[in-house]
Amino acid sequence: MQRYIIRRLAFMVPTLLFVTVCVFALVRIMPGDYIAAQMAESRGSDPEFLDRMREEMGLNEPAPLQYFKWLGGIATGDWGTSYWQNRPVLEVIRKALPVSAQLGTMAIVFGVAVSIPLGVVSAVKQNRFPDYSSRMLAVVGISIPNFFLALLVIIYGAKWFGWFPPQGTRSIFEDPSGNLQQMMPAAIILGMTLMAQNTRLLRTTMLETLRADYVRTARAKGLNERTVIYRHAFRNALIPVVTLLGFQIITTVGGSVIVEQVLGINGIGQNFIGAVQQRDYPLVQGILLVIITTTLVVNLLVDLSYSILDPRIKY
Amino acid sequence: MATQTTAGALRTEQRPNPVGASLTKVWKFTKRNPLGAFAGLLCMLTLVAAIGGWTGWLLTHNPERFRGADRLIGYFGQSNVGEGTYILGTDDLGRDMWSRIIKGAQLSIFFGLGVAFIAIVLGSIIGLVSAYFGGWMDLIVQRLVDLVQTIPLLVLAIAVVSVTGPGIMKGFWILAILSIPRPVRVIRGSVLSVKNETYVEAAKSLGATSNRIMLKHVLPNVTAPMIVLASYLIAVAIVVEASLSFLGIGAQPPTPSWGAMLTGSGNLFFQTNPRLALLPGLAISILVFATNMFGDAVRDELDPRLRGSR
Repeated sequence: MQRYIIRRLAFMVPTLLFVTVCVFALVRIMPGDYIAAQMAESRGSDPEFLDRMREEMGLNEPAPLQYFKWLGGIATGDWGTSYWQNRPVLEVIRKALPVSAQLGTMAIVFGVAVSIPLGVVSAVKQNRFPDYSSRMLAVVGISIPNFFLALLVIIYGAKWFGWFPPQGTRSIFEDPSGNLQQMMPAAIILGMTLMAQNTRLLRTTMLETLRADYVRTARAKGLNERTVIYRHAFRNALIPVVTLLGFQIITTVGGSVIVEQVLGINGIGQNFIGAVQQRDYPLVQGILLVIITTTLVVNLLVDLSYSILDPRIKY
Repeated sequence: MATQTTAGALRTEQRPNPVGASLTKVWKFTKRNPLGAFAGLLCMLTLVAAIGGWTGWLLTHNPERFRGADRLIGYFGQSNVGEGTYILGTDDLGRDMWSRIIKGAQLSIFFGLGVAFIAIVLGSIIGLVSAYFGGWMDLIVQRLVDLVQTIPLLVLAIAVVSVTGPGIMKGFWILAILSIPRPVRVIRGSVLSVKNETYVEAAKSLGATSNRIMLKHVLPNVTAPMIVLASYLIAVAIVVEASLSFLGIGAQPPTPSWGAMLTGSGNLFFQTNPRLALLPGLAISILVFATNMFGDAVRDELDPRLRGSR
């Protein structure tokens, strides 16, 4: 187990290096740079002035040199300066990351917490009212894309409850109620797809395990139904769900970009879209790097959690 | 092999009336799985809408023409400039909503089917070759696939679209390429499990070439998981197209796209005219619902383990 973890961690280093090359190359191919985009508005396009600005920002150096400078900066904590926000990239990320992390965690917790009882009840009471209603909810959940759901919440939240999404950032520590007012709807919207997919998968796998021989044995030896369902069937039904959860965390990161944008939450996602629109290289690079590192770590954790759930799996 | 014999026997028995036979099949499927059949019907209707939008016979008005006098007309409203009835009303620029929704179906269907087709064809080739030959090629392909799969599709698509500039065809190709890893994985897994079967060994010992084994013995065994995967890829492609257009980096105006309609007039006028956001949003939701449900139903039909449990 330890050796496996070490091997996986060691493998992450070349992967991350490869990712930095890709991220760097990707951003360099952008047509027209920030300087041209920005200066065209304020100063016209005086080529001499543009050149001087590029020189100052190091955009005229050969690409490999720029890459190594950037990589060195990342290692030493200097991620460059965001052109668009005129602040160090690391500072922007440090401010936005907790917001997105809170949103993502809340969404995943919501999704998992709701889907587990729904999925189990659905399988145990197969083809009866609880099953139909939770399947209905799950079907609706996977069908509505999160941006449409967000728009619906804005439309009918305002119409029926007079609720408008609060703008800007509110810290959970300084203004808990303001923070939750903003985050709760966003987390539910973001967690909806996850909840729906998990419910459906858990129902299917529960139905399968409830028919398994060891469940019949457990019933035959007189265990009460609760123990049979939770100790014997449920635990084994969870493994595919955890696999799916790994994928879902990645999709949730993607989805948060849209939900943050629609509901005006100043997290990583909103900054990412802003940076892309402003052609703010350093910020785009920094955010991509953070997102990819997060998902790589999530993948590792998911792989490790298998062996906890299923003792037969050993690394 | 057994299924093939049964299918062959059925075919000879019912040869006099092939249409009746397939209708019976559809009817049986409907009785077994009414929700799946309903979803299939919705898929067909969207397909018809897409074809109708493409050829123009379902369009009542030009979906891209502005009519200053006909702004924000409600359901079944009459035109002020003698253009007849607007079934679903008009948007803030006086464009006919019905025609725009129909035209939007064309884009969504094109994205869904096109992306799934390209991803599955390329993914199958890569997966087959990678699993069949193994070695360093397999290793490199797998690492690349892992890497692309750890990055959220939408984030990657946004990043790449922003580099190449917005545009619907660019988005299409990017999405198709980014969708390849999943079929590669599915195919590779199935091939690995089939590769050591006795019949593959038998074919080898009879002197069959690698190409023949891959096409004749391995590929037919992976069609069932592929169909299920296709429905998943179609649904994802539709949602990602809508998301990109929603963010303004997919379909560019005046091309009607459901996602773009949602963010454009839908977002601006939702307080006074929620219709403008609800209609395209519902259209996306219904299509995604239908694709998912139909895919599930097909899976249940194809998977012999699940057939008995209903």
